[in-house]
Amino acid sequence: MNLSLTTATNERGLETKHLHDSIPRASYAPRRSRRRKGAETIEFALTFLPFVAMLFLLVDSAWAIFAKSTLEYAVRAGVRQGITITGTQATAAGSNQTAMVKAIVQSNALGLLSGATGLSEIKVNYFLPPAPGSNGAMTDVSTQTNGNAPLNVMQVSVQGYSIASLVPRMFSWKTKGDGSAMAIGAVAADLIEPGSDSPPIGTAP
Amino acid sequence: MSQKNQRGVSIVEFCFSMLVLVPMLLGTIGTGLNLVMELQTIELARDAGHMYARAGPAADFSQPGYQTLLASIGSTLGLSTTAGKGSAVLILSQVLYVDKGICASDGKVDGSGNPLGCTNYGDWVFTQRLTIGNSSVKTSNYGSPVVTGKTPVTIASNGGISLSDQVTNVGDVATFGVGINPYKNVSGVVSGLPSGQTIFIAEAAAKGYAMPPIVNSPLMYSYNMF
Repeated sequence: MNLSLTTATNERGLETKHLHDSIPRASYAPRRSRRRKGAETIEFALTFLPFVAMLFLLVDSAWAIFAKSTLEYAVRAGVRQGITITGTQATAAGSNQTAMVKAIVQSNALGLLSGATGLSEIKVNYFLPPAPGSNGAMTDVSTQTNGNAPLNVMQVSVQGYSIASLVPRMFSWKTKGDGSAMAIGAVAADLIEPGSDSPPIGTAP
Repeated sequence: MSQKNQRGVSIVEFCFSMLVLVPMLLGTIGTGLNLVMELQTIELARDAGHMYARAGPAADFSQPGYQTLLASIGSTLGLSTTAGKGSAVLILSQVLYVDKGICASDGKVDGSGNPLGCTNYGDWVFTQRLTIGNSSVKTSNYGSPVVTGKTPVTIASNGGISLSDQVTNVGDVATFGVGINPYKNVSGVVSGLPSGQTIFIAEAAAKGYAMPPIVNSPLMYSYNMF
């Protein structure tokens, strides 16, 4: 290293001496850079982790909201079309009311209820309304042959469907993250349309 | 500014950005949840309204059996079968246009068949009002039968209102605004709607998801007419 001594006079007229090296100031940069090596990585990690956590939370929430709204729509579509199915339509399709309703729900679920597993999560219940003046509950007549009689209630629901979370849900620092799957259900109901051409009920629920 | 003076600036900037981003994230989630609740409110009003209208007199929605079914549809909204409980309400109303025929059915006409003493002639009145769940969540957009005062409207346990109240009690007049009432411009004569035909209205309302102070519990509301 080349050192040089310079002399200067300050504002009080006193002479001061300064020791300088001959290395240009620009040449300090690599040394500082070496000192800061890794800082960017640490800072990136510090910001990346919260951002990724936020992203997972957003994706998890959006996925759950999407699934819920899709299933709500699917069961509603199943009920809306299901209550109007006639015996003629069922015969033409070689099917029955319950199976046709489940197929409608499945086709409207955007793949969320695909396959045999998805099909098993769709339930179609038939209820006999209470007699006028009665305080009794509705009677579940799903297993009866005439359970789908006109003006009985058809209830279509999705039960047992769940979605796994991308990352465990943190509700508190003190408790362990909740990584369990989130159950999502949907239900819709309506009165079966009157008519003399009732389809076979099939295997319900 | 030297590097030493800038030490810690990044973390401060990061905190400032988080102050904006985190509420935005929570707000997005809260809004999404409320969108789902709105869909459920729409579905509850639609299912209830269709069942209410389709069954007509054959179904009594004051019966616990029907109310339990409705509560199952609105369970995620917090619809309870117990009056005053829960975070949702379902208001079922039947309204009727009082024309000459309705006046005549209550004997409120003169010898020529013109209304006489038929106070509510030319108005829409309630023939039934049922409220399921927590009525404090929201009142009906179409008004409510006045059950207090000197001449209160009497609502039976099944929600029914007598013909006398429908015809002569001003407290039974419903609020049908312009744009909602399709027959308002036909004075005295209801075109296209048979005399005595009621309109079924189902209104559903629920308190939305709250995440204060980012998302305040909004009111979800939907109605259907049949």
